[in-house]
Amino acid sequence: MLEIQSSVDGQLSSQRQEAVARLLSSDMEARQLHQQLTAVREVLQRHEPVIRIPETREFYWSQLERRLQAPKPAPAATGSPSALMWRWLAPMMGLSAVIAVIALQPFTNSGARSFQLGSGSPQASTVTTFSSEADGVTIHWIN
Amino acid sequence: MSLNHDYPTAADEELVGWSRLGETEAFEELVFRHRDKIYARAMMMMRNEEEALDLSQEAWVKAWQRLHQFQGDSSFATWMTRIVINLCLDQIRRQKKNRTESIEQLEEEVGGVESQLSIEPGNPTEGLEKDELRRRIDEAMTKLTPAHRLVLVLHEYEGLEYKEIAKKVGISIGTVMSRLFYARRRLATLLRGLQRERDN
Repeated sequence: MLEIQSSVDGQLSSQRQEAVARLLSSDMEARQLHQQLTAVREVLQRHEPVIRIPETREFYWSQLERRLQAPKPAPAATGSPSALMWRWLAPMMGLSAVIAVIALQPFTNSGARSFQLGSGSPQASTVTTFSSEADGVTIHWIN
Repeated sequence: MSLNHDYPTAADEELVGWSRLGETEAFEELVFRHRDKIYARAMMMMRNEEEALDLSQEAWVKAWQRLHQFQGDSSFATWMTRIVINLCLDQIRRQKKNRTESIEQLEEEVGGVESQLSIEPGNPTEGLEKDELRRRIDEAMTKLTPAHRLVLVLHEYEGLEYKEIAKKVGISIGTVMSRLFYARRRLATLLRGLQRERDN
């Protein structure tokens, strides 16, 4: 069957083409298959569906023009292992620093106190601590 | 930047040359001339208007960025069509990763089905008017699976040989032949069914 198709598409060697021709002359079913495949091939090639863009020239171009002018996106930092490692390490280091500062605060008295981390920086955080020696409880809020 | 070139009457190759120099008006003319064909090819492969529009635009962006690579060995339209087809293939591969049904798995499926389709003599589209026929072909194409449609479009409309399709899609020549065979038989059945509906 596939050889009959290859014959329709002209993709057989001359020797195989002759063999298929012999088959077609003696086998009616093979002949009908050949006719069907040929008919479908011809109808597709002659009547390619006409599909038009459902947008006006101006609209299509205006959209395209924006894409042409858009800067190429910066490549994601996925290449080097050190870049990937740094992506995870940076926030972890920040968090560790916050915890360390909190842990080193002396708690001699009960009550609440606040202090700022990284003051002057746009990402400064306020840490509020409440400690009760009587209850043996210490609570930290990080804003 | 316009240098008073007569874009509408210029040949594609001239427009390409001017576009390379940064004349967006020349490129706009190329887009205007070929946009329907490029979109149609994307639509034939993806069968999704939004995706086809996006991919056709992406193809134009790529073309703009790679105009220096256009050597003129083929026509500009052919060069553009290859770009959009490659983008569609990439998209299909990406989608395939997210589907349980892989394009390769379809090969097993077609082996049994193709032999079950009956062979009916005669032209399955005989007597249909041109426009009607085009519409029906389009309708029938939507009923093929993406894998079968892809091979059919590349072979029938792009004129690629079996081995070229195999290389482009990343499948064996045998798979190409099998899918093409199934797609044609299925299309013949669908078109005949549509013809019968019309006759009744």
